[in-house]
Amino acid sequence: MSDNPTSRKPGKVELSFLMGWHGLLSGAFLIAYVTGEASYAMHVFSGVMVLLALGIRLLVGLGAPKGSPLGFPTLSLPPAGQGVLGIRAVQRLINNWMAAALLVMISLAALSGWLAHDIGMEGGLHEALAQATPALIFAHIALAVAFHALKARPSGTATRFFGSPVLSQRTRNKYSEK
Amino acid sequence: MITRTVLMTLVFAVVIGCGAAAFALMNGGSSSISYASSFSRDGGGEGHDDHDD
Repeated sequence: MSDNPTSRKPGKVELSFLMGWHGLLSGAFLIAYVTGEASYAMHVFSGVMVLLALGIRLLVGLGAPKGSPLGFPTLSLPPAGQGVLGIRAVQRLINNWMAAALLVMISLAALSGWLAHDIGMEGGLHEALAQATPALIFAHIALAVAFHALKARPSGTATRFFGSPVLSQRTRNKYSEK
Repeated sequence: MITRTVLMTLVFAVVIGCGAAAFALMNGGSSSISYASSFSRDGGGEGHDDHDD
């Protein structure tokens, strides 16, 4: 196993902040999505809340010290010399990429909505981005549930499913023989 | 962890929903609440009968 050596588990306050922030973002997005067709004022209010949540996360991420769980997570594999990649590290990397894709999509949807509201930009882009976002959200939920279920199983289950260590020389040899 | 995350989402959704509804009412914008009341005021829904027997 070679998880990112700079990352550590979040403390109680950090975890509360992350959960509260996730609640603010997802709750605001949910209301913005539901009120898209029903009430323009409610849609604008919840859209502003989405932008606020994104702004808060950006500021906290930029201000967090190196190695803090509040900093921006890594999207790259560890250097080649650090040995094989553990199953947890692979899961974390997939989660990080999923979260990054989701945040970019939500940011673009919220910003395009703001531009459409303030400078009267064409609303087609905003609508297209907003319609595509739920697919990513469901993928994010599915991954979170799947990884949680694997974590809850007895140790070694994930190993039996995926082989361990992932991307090991033995695994690569096994498949290259076929 | 997942249960707590879902709960947080729902709690924030309710709070933001209430805030958004208050904002909509204060601004006189159309809201689902005003739409529902105007729908019932205009005689929408079941049980409406124009005939005097």
